[in-house]
Amino acid sequence: MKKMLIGSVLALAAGLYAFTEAPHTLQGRWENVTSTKDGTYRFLAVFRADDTYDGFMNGKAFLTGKYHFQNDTLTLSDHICQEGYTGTYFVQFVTPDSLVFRLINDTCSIRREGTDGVTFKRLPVKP
Amino acid sequence: MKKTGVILLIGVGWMIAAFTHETPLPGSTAALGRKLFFDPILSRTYTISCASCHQPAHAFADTSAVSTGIFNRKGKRNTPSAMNTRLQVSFFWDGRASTLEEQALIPIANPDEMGLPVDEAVARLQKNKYYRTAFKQLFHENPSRENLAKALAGFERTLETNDTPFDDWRLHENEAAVSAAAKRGFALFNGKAECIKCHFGPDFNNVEFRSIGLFDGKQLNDSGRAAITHRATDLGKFKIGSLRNIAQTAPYMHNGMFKTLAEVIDYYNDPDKVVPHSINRDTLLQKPLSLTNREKQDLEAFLRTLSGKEM
Repeated sequence: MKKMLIGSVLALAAGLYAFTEAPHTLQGRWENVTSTKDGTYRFLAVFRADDTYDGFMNGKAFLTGKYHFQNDTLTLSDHICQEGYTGTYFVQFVTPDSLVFRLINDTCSIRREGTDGVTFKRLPVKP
Repeated sequence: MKKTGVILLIGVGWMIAAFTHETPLPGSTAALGRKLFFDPILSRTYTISCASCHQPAHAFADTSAVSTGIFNRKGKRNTPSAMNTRLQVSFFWDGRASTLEEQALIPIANPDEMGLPVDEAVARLQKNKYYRTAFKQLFHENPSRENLAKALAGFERTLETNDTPFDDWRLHENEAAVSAAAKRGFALFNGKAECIKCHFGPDFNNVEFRSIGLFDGKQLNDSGRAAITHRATDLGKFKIGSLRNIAQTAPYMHNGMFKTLAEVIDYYNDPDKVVPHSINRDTLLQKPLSLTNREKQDLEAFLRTLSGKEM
């Protein structure tokens, strides 16, 4: 009986924690590192508070666009794929600091290939 | 008298040191590639090195419409920059090489460039004590076609530009890194001027071949990519050039026909004014862009933000 009571209390606490957990945030710097025989490739995505984002490959800026993030769903639009064409991805947070983008819908093949299934890790904020 | 003796002794010592000093061996494949890149040993006449046409001061490109090779022979196309090649998937204006290693050997053997068959170049390196030792140290074998290509490509892969004012602006959110005109130019690049439809990616060049209308079958008769693929649809198509360090690589286009960035922008603004009867021009360039003078200047200001600090 005592065991059951403790179990129920724990379950209730866990449930309460789940409901009060802060929603995931995308804002910040996220990096994907791929190593090949030709060297290392670092893809950095910067999501800003003003709903804009930039992409960098090995420190080279090459992608600017706008994003909307709600309920772990990300909508992207950028100049390369033309602003009217949006891509939608489910953002699967493996931990609060690592994520994988899962395709929901994106007609822009270049963006799809560079995003779907790609894992990113959050970079620490510089002091 | 004593002073003169000391000076003489120092002088003799310096001379002995100078004559017995040996150039240190390169510590990496890229360092060996750098030495080879600047060494005329790879040309038939010992007069031309890779760096004769790929000049560091001009972002490893040349200032002539076409470069001058051995015996003052003129090349057929404008020398592209040897920088920012790491992310490329094809090389030369017509994309005839698909790896940097493959690319690296072709100018050595080209009769209009360095004019030395690659096997002869390798034999020269094998006879050269310095290179023989360096290759053995780094590759554990004598110089060969394969490791020569690896060394040159290894050096070229180090020539990356990611410290431009544009990168600084976007990466560090440094609003002062580029001018207001350049920011307007960036908006035009992505919008009205439609540059981004072809010039995108980390080096602003995509991986495609496009015909911008510089083939008319008469004065402009370089068929470009079609000579490689033998497809009529590729007539007049060339590799889209990188825009990184573009301000340093004039003249422009595969034939070096435009001397300035302003001329390039004028061409894209209304191609028919410059080449009225082009064949197979890309449909993206069917209509004039109708850029104002100020917009053209803004676009140029943006392009100038793509030069690295070294430039």
